[in-house]
This record gives sequence, C-alpha cells and structure tokens, in this order.
Amino acid sequence: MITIIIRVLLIYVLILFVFRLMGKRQLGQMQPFELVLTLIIADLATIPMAEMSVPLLNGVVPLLTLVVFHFVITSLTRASTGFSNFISGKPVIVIDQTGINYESLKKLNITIDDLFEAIRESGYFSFSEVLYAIMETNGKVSVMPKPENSPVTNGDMKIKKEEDTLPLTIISEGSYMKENLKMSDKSKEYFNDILKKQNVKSIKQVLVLTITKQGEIFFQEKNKPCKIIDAN
Amino acid sequence: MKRLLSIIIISIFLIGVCVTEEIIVRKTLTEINSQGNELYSLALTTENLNTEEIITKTRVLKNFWIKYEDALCFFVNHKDMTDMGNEIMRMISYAKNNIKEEYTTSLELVLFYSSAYSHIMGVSFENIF
Repeated sequence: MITIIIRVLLIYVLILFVFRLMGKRQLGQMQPFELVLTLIIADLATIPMAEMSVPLLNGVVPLLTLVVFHFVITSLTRASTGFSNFISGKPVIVIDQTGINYESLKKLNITIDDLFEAIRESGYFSFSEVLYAIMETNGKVSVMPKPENSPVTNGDMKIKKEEDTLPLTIISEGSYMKENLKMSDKSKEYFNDILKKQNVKSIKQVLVLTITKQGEIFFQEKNKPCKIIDAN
Repeated sequence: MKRLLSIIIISIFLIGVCVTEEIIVRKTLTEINSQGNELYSLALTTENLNTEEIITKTRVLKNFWIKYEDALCFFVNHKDMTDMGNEIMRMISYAKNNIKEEYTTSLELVLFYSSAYSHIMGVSFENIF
C-alpha cells in the first residue's frame, strides 16, 4: 500500500508539473487539441496509479512525450499562421450585416438554436440586436451589437473619470504579501498603526486588507464585518 | 526560457530512458536467451539432468536473473517478470530431481519470454502499428 501511495504522489507531482508547463488555460479557453491532450493525460495517469504491475516509467514516458510534442506544436502555431489555422482553425463570422451566414453554420456544424444560445449568453436576446457574431477557435461566440443596442460608455457620455488601479492585497489570511507591500510604497508599520487604530490585536486576526492608489483601505477581520477606511 | 529549458531536460530524460531500456533490457534478455539455449542443447543431449554441469549452469542462470531482475522492473511489466522468474526457479528443482520433461518445458518458456520481449516492445514497423 505504501508503494501505491508513493506512486500516486509521484504521478500527482508530475501532472502538476505537466499542467504548469502547458500554461494556464481554463477549460473553455482551450483549443480543441488542448482539450484532447488534457483528456489523454488524465487517462494516462491512471494506468500506473491503478496497475501496480505496470512500471511507473510506462506512465511517465508517454506523459512527458506529450508535453514535448505539445511544446513543439504550440511553438509552431506561434511561428506560423498557416500552421496555427490548420491546428486551431480560424474564427468564423456567423452573423454579419446581411444576417445569419447559413454556409458558416453548416461548416461549423452548429444549429440556429446553438447560435441563439450563444447570443443569449452574450446578453442579447434577438438576432436583430446583433451586428456581427464571430465563432472563435475555442468554440465561444463573440458578439458585436448594433450601435443602438451597445451599452453606453463613459466615453459616449464624455464623462472624465480618474484612471482606476487595481487594489493591492497587503494582508491575506494573517500574512503580509511582501511584493504587494513593496508596490504600495508604504511600510509594515504604517499598516500596523492602522490596524492598531481599528483595535486589531494581532495581524493573524486579519482576513484581508487591500489598498487602492487613492488610499482607500478595505479590511476585514476573521468572522467580523468588513470596514472601509480612507487612509488619506 | 524556463519552459524551453524544461523541455530540453525532459527530452534528454526521454532519450536517456530509451537508450537505457535498449541497453539493459536487450542485453539482459539476450544473455538469458543465450544461457538458456546452451542449457537446452545440454538437456537434449543428456539423459540425466542431475549432473554438476547442468545444475551449476542453471544456478548461474538463476543468479544472473536475480542480479538483473530489479533493473528490468523499471521497464518491463512486473507480471511478465514474475512469470519468467518462476520458471527459472522451477528449473533448479526439476534439474535436481531429474524431471526432464518439466525442465525443458520451463526452459522453453524462459526462451520464449526472453525472445518475446523484443517482439512486443522492440522498435519495429509491426510494433508501431
């Protein structure tokens, strides 16, 4: 049994490594060949895990071979547009100014219902609201609405807004995030003072503390309601 | 750059595994096959298996197998290894008790297993497809 545990741990570590090497992609963002690869990897990993008589190398070698081959394929797709189109396909316009492109639907093997569903997922409930719809290579449909149906933006309203910045997480679950602390140009003492003023006895009690460029601090103690403080 | 380095290391590892497999597995099984063939011709020409020569040579085969069994476990299915190991161990007993029929059957199986590996796992057009 210990051997099984060790084998499973080794394969687990290897799979983590393999997926890290393949890059971060969500399931919906995967190209078709990447999805197939993920399924194969999952299947390959179970063989040496479940079968004690199979040498571990019989599972490791195909996994690593796939990683190398995937690297070669992705490098080639980056280097050549033609190859990329061959492997991943090209985005296809399914709705344009003339309406639904039936030939494209046939080529993509999707029905009107599928297209309607995709449009609805984008927030539009009628084909008449859509100017262009493009089926992306990962199977998602991108929709460009007609001007009368597109949401109003600050630019349209000529509203000038201060540039937003991402809030920096300074404390997460009782620990200072060193890199973010450096980026905030503030010291630990500065935040410790703020926490003291809020009657926080220990940093370990802090669930999260974030700060924006404008100096707005959001913080919450564990099992307590959140607080928003203006540090300026 | 880090990714490329990882891929290079993995490629070297894969090449290393393939080369090591070719060297260790092929060399070991070829040696067992040759020792087995020698024993087979001896067993066919003699009436009495319980001779010093046959028992010693069978022991040499057994010791050789024990020595390289662990290394083979890295590459060969353990079930196949057990089958081969069992037959080699039986041969000692059959030789001591002069059971010629069983001895030659076990020896034939050892010869079959040792040559079958290259048919199953070796690089060939048939094996690829």
